[in-house]
Amino acid sequence: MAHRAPAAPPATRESLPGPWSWFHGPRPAGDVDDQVIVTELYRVYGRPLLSFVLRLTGGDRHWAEDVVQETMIRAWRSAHQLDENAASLLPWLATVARRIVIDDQRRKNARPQEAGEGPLENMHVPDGLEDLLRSVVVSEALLALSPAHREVLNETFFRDRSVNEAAERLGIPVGTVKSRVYYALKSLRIALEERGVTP
Amino acid sequence: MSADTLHIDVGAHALGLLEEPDRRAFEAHLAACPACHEELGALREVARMLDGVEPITDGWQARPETRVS
Ligand SMILES: [Zn+2]
Repeated sequence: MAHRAPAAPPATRESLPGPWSWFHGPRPAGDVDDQVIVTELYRVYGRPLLSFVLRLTGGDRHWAEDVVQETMIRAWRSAHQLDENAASLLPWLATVARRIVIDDQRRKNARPQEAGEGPLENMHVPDGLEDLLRSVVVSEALLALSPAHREVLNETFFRDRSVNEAAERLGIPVGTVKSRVYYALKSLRIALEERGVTP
Repeated sequence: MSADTLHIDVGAHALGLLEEPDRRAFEAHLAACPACHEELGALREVARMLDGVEPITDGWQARPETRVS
């Protein structure tokens, strides 16, 4: 991927989202090791970004992982342009990743297209991009929950089990499951609001 | 079941996770509890956001060979 030209930022500074306080922080930027930055990008955004890109690549995991890696590298190169105050870098990363997938697709097809010709029609996108982005941001918000809150949603909602069934499987009182579900939803609501998604 | 306990059920109810006796008990409570009525609306919106979202499964790893240059 070294042959790829450096990416221009996809949006103006004013509209770039991203929590870069850990990067800009009180330390001089020169103190931050490059590898640390990319590792941190992967830790925070790797999983939700991969799930987003997997749908753009029609489930091709190897391709998707390459795209995620290239996206992280471009983000690292563009670090100084990102808005440290925005709640999430994910919309920015998703925009870059989508562009990389489109470029890859064009190269594979060896059939250059005019800009704006609707390249997404050639890709396996099950829903609208808005829905994809929303689900990626929601996935990221789920990652921000405590492990106990994530677990209780996994054991109930995501597996289509009642609170009683989940309580039995987890070996805890049903009242505890109900309470965790309640506080998990409250936390999720806050996490979504922080990311600019208003439920 | 105390009213405090029933308030908590609003979360499980928003996700449709209550079994029948609890669901009926909560709905009876809901009719008389403005706080739960309001909260149910908000939590249902959160629940709606989860539609079509994949659960987060543990074990995902970043590629170890990631390089930055
Ligand atoms: Zn109530």
